[in-house]
Amino acid sequence: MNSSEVTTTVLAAAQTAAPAAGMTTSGWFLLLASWAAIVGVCVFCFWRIFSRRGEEHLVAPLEIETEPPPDAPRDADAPRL
Amino acid sequence: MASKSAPSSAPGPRPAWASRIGVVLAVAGSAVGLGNFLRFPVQAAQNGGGAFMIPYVVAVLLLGIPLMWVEWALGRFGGRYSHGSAPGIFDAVSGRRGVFKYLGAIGLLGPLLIMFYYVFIESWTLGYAWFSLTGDLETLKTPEHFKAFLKGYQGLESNEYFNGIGPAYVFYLITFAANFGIVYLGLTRGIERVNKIAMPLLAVLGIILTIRVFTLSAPAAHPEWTVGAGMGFLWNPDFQALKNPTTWLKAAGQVLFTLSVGIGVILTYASYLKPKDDIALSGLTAAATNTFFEVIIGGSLVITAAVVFFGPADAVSIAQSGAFNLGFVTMPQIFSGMAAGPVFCFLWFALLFIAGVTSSISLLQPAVSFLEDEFHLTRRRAVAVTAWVCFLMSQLAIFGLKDGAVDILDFWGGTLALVVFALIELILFGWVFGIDRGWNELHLGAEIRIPAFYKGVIQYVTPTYVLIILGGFAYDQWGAAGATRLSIAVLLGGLCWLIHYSWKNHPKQEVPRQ
Repeated sequence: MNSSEVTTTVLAAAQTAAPAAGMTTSGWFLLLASWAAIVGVCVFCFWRIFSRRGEEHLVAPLEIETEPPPDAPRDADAPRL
Repeated sequence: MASKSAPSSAPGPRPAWASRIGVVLAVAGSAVGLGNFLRFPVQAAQNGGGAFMIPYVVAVLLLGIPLMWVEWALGRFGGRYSHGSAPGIFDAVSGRRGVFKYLGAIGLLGPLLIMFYYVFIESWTLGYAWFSLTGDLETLKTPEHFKAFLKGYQGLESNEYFNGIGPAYVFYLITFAANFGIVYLGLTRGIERVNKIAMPLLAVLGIILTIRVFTLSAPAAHPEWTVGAGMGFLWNPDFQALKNPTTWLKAAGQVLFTLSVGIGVILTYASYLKPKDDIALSGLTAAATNTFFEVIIGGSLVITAAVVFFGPADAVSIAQSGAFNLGFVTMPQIFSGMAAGPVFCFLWFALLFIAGVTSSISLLQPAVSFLEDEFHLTRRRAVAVTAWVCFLMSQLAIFGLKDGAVDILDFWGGTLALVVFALIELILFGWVFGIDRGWNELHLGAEIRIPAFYKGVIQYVTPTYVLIILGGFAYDQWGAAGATRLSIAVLLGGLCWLIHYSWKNHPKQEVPRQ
């Protein structure tokens, strides 16, 4: 059975399995679980981002980059493995 | 030497994102495209309905999010060494080993190939938004009228609506100029500013359209064609579909495409981060935002509306007819049959256009960054060179549409290159850069702690997942013989790598020469 035949079979099954009868209990469960998880993660992420907004432009002294001395090891280069 | 440059000796400062939310929205904007609203609902309806969400969620957790983190980490690392595109980033991450920079070419080719046709398709949404306002779409009544209108507009046939590709070409030029104009304005004044406006606007448009679809009434002749029936068509699970490997492959493919991973775009965007900017939370936020648009907005619009207007039986054939038909034939027809139809039709195409623009500008940035960082071109010249290449090559998509040029570009750029590139990134991150160093890199400045099991997932599970997808595509395209050839090639590559690893790390006994 090639992929188009599989698709047609699945579609035909979907058509018979899902007549115009509204949502089943399992349909509601999957919809609500998916939506709740997605909205929950979005709210968590954006809350974390916006709650730390004021710190965005802070520069700690340790982050100030300085030129390495001429005899320093080449650790500033991309590391060789 | 440019190729050996350390951060302190980089030629001129690279631009950086002005705000944290700017980069998150830019990456999310890159991911949210036409596929979220057109491809996902079709895939879900065709592959088990609500049951599709099970392999989809598994793929998001084991494939999409790990790859997202890997790309953010690789990109930020490369940016530290003034590289913003895959060749330079791969070269830096691999410790300047020769071969990886050449593999990085896939990360330049992929987005360009997609851009060559994507900008033309994106311009259709602008054209249709215009025709919604002028009332041209309102005069169409039957599906045949809408199909003829689309074919005439695309230049595929001369008919009562269009006698040439002229109007489509005008909208293409406007879209093309808008894209390059935004990129020319630069990272913060162009890309970041546009995404900060476009993404909230996209959410508002999506929510308005979703509310409109949810308040549709069933036709008087078919009171059973309700919104509930439409949602049930998409969400009522057919668990038998889970036994079909195709369902799992389709879900994994959908996740890979929708998150814009494996294209090379996130690498470039992440290269403009500061060395200690968070990437763990930002990557997760971008993935979650994209999933919101795809599952909640995209999953509520087209299929639900199609069932309410045409019934479940016709919705099956509509879903089968493909994403373009759904977006440019079915949806305008649905809107033409409702009150204030032209307004909602305009909002629908505006939604698609905005989603398209935020994606297409991201596709340009790797090439522009490559020219800026590796050839030290000014932004103006880098954008001009990229624009000429894109303009010339997109003529293939425009005038070769009839002969399948778009399908070819989509397969090589939007399908195969993407999966191969994702696999290279995973190998580079988990095995060449080293998973321990990679893990530390991921957590540098991180605002969330990534669960420890993801270390194993990134090193073993996600590459295996991608390999299976690659095998599935090969089987789909070239049959069992192609999949077998690909497996042999992968096996040979793996053996060569083992030999290389052994000879490098386990010195061999000297053999005296005679």
